Amino acid sequence: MNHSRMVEMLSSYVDGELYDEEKSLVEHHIQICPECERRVAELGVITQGVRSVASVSLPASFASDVLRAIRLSADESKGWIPAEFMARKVLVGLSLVVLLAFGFTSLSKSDPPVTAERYLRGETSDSTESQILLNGGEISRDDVLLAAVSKR
Amino acid sequence: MKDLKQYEDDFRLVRAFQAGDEKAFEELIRKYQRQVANIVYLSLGDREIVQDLVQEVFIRVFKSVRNFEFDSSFYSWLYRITVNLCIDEIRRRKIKRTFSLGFLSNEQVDEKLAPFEKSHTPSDLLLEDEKKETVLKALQKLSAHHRAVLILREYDELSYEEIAKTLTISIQAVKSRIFRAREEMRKLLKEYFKERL
Repeated sequence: MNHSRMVEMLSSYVDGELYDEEKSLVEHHIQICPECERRVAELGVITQGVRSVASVSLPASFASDVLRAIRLSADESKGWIPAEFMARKVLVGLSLVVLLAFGFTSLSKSDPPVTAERYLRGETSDSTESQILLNGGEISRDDVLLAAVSKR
Repeated sequence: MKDLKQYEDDFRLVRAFQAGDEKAFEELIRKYQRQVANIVYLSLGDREIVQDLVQEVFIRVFKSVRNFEFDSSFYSWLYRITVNLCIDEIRRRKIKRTFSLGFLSNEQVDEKLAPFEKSHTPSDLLLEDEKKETVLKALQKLSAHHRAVLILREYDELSYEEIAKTLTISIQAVKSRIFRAREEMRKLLKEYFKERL
């Protein structure tokens, strides 16, 4: 076995990943090769070094924090409204507002203001007097009296 | 190599979670949060990002564990998610560095990266140790794939077979990557060995 192949096997050797026969070969070689003996020691230092660096720990509440974040994200996705759906809602809402406004304007659109002049010309209905009294009227009380006297 | 009891315990918890027991998932997090945190830390060398990335790992696990089919150990599957997330983050950072440091020479880049690779939290200052810093810096210089195999082997003590399953590569590829990763580490830590051996 050439030396470079042996060097490669050292890595598997320190990991305990060699068959018994290979392991014996490596162990025998290490005894007679100071370079490989040193390599094995270096590999051990690397292993210890990596393990010593791994010193991170998380807060005790971490697991419950993760679950809270998951629940929050689930709630948000439930309440999420797609843009197209949202746009349709806004459009329907605006249409309703326009329709209502139009309807209200039409309903509240009253007959031309009742004036004594119109009343005297007979352009108003018989209920004009009551309309005037109920609505607060566009004509004064004197006008109404005058109109009533004239009608008689 | 982890023992059989650990396999069975994990499977029991995964089954309970699949049946709707959220507490079982919380237990899985508690059981593995430290290992996942350290894989992230060793992979990125940045303590400040650890908590966010570990949370992201477990959110991904939560979303897909219902489809876990028990054809590998739970931790292999968990570590695969962790390693993939770390590799994505390493790539993302590399792109960011390329853009921000693209106009500098290699020496200038090393100078720029030196303070970035150092930790600055008070706990780090207390624990600060030349050995840890040197090893951590050396790890960050390995390629993402070499870093991943070395961490799974040295820190998590996974067998070659488990690493192969975790990373979905052949055992031969694991063997070869670990050897190359260690060769790189030996070169990077030459001075360090001189002082200690």
